[in-house]
Amino acid sequence: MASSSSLSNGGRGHQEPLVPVPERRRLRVYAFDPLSSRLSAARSAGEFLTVSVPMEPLERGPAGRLVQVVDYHPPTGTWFWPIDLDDPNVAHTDGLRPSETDPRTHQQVVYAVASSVIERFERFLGRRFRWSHQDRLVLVPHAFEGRNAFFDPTRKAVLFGYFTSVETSGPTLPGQRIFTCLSTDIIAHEVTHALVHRMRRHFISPTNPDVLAWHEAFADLVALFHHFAFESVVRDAVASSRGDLTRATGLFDLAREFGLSVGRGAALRNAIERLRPESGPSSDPSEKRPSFSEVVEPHERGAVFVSAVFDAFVTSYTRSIEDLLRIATDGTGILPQGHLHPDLVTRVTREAVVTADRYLGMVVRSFDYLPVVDVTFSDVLRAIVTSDRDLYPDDDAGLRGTLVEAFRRQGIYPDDVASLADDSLAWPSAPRSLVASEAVRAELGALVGQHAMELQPAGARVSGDAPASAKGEGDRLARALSAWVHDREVAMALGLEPQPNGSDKDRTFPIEVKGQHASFRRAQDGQPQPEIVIQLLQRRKDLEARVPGAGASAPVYAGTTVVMTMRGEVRYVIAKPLPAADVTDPTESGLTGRAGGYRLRVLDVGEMRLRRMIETIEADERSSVTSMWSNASPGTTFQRLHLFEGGQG
Amino acid sequence: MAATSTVTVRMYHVGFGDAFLVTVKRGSKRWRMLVDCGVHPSGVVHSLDSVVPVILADLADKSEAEVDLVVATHRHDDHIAGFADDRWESVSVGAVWLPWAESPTDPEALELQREAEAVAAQLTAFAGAALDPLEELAVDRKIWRTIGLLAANAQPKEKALPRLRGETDGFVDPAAVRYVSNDGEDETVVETPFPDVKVHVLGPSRNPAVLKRMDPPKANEWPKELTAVAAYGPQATGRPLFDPSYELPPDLLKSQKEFESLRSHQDLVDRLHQVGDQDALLAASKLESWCNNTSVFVVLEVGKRRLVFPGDCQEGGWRHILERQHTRELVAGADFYKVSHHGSHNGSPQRFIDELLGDDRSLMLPFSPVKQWEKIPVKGLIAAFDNHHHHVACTTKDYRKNSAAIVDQNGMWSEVTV
Repeated sequence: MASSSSLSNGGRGHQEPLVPVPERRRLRVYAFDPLSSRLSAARSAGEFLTVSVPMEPLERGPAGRLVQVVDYHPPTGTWFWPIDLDDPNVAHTDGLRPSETDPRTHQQVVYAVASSVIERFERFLGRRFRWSHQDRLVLVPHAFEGRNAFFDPTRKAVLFGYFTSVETSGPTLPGQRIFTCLSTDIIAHEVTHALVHRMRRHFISPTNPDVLAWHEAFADLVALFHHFAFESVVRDAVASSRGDLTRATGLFDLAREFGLSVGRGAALRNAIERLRPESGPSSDPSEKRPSFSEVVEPHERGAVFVSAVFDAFVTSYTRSIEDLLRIATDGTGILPQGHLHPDLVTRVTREAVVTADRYLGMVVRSFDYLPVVDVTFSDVLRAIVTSDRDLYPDDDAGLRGTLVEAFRRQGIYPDDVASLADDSLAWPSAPRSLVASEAVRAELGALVGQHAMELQPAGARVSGDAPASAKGEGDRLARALSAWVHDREVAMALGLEPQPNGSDKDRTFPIEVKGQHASFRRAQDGQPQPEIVIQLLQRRKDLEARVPGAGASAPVYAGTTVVMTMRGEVRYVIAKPLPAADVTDPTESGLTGRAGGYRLRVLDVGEMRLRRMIETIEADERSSVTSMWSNASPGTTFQRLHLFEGGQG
Repeated sequence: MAATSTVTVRMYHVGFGDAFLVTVKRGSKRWRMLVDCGVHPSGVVHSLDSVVPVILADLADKSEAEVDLVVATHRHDDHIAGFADDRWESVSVGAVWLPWAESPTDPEALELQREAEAVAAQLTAFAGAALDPLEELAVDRKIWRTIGLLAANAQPKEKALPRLRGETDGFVDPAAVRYVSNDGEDETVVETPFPDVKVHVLGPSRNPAVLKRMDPPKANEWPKELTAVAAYGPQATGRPLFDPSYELPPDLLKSQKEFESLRSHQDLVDRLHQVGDQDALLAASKLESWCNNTSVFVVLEVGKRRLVFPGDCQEGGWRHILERQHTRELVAGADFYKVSHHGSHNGSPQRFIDELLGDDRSLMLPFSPVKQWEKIPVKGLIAAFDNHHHHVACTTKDYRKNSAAIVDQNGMWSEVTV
């Protein structure tokens, strides 16, 4: 790199060759949390882990492009000195040495973990992440005293609590202060909630039992798979368990310190607990774990999903090291007593890390193929299969097949598909004739160009901002899209309600364009595969009288995700329709053949969807503890969700 | 068969609270049951001071005031506060029923009482601190007032409970006190002087599995800030977190350019002060529901007529009743239903109202408006009463519907004959 800058100098002067800005910033964090760090001191991983995050210009706080730490302590009304990560004394030593008594190290830990989670998202999604209105996600490490940490959508902030341990017999000290902001798992979990909320903001409306469960499951998955980002930790697990990761302690545990300090005697959750046949205090078959269809509480339902993914991970990982074990054992595959050879540990660790990365990638990438509202686990499964199949049509390593099988074992089946084969699981392809209007197609190139530009690493960019013209181009595209989707035929093909009198000037049921982006993913052939994803949302005021509690503060929405190529050919229409405004026979409105049949089916699904929404809301009203006493706003959803964790026992 | 019995239910118009006198008469014989006597301090229509003498006068129709059975469904003010009145000392009471959770000897009950009282005390202290005008916290006062009310409702009454338990000079003669529960087929049935009049006890459950489902209050599972208040007083959350040298002096924050982006978060900082209230509200609501779900739930059977008195039973307690065929049959198609929990959103399960109760029944809704709980009675429930053509008597005129109840000329009570 230095040579290229001297070339551009053209030998004009005697300037010193440019020293490149480092691409990465290394920061020390706890090996999961202060407790685990202490307990693992004997391990080779050491007390602290080093996280490598993209280098970016920082203000004190730290405050970067996407996250800002605000260390204000409301109970005493105090600010704590914000850390300056660019201070040479800090930068030279991979950040300050984490300490429970120095708040600046807490700021460093939350910044480091949050940035590394966001970076992984960007890598899997194939695009730069942005908060709405160019905001930053605020992280408040000492927001309140309480056994909780939550993402608050109205404040656009993750609030971390701290509390005093109640445990008297376990490894935490009674009366010891526990900071949730020092737990890698808790930070990753909460930041993931924020990321999901940015990409699908209606996933906090529990219109069916899966919506919140998916939020939780996804946050847990990201936090757990983040363990595999630390190779030294995985290495220790491989060495201590002789390659059988399910026997390694800690690797599949979520928020261990938190769980122990609130008196649970174990981690908050464990990813593979459900997979162990011998688990649980009794083997009485009547105490069998409830099946997926019987579980309704969001965390529990989410846990089933998480188990399925880890089940698939363990299966694929075990398969991937079989050859290594055979090589190491002269073909028997049976390991001798004692420690594994360090070289074998290194190779097995590599397989574990790569397999974990591949599975997390599968789940994160599927995000663009999820509906805009009212997600179900069935949708998630189909989105995963669709996005993965597009990139890896052959599924050479059998990962996708293993995942589908693991879901089946846990009782997660997709609704309404003919078989568990790829072709029926994937979202159906849109009809070939569905192509974006000329005006839309004319703008797609600019969108792709702008997103490509942003992919350049921030550290190396001249200015951190997107090109100045991008905003205007984005608006033009949004206008073109809006005109296109309001066309009667197009709206119906997208599973949305057409305007009553067919004129595109009339906007009785306006369709909002909620998101438009291009992403570049590396496909099986190694080439980036650009794709345009558009989110459409349509409020249906006419149906709100039928839904309890619905109205301006809780609107009823239909929504559709449209996936198209750079040339504007629609590939997938992922619709969450609602019943028609006026039920007329589609053939009377001039729709015949395939279009008429499609419309009828959409309305059918819409009616079912609306009914389930009403049932879910009524059930929630009946069982909710607070709904009588307060108008629980969406802002408190996560807080309420997480509060139950302490009481779940 | 002898002449048929008449059954009347008199609802005293205390306001947001329960006080019901049931009288079964046949010829010169009669049997009487008083279900609760209390009112919520925020929803008083006629004060207990004025209602208790009316009840006592009704009980004294044959010289000395007497009643065969007193059912105190649960410990909340709006159900038992009236028993704090010393005039009860002149009444002779045959028997008193309380929920098993109020037993002064049962170890499990004692544990529950200890937990509930600890949580209530913490909440009260915390609400007191939050509402203290000297505190600088920018709190949502409405939420904290609700929390304070809920916690106060759960605190044991100074005189009422001891009187009912027979610990003090309660009534004329020591009444036979019984702590009731029901979990099996062999539910408690009490015979009366009439062969065809029985009282069935349907709840509460004391089965740990059922109770667990209802989320019992446990002080050590409460949001930590509440327990910290109990341990260190209301100022507990003000303890410094770190060595003072880590604190950024406010004048530096205001003046230095490097802190500019932090300063821009003033709005966030203001709102951070409101974090704790949702936790406390949740704790308070859980405590409230828990106590309601351990209400004594009785069905009075008179010949073929059945009258349902569920106390303040909410979803969890109802499930216990509706899941078992035997108890479900006792409430299905009942002739009279005392609307549970003042008409709240989960006091009367939809499956009970829409599928089991039937049409054209006699209902009594002990309700008057309380500002903090404007959602009670819940609209959907009132609409369901309409759909099923029920006859609804209510303390508040607006909610009376097709009622055949006689209303006292002074407005102190209404009465239906079942």
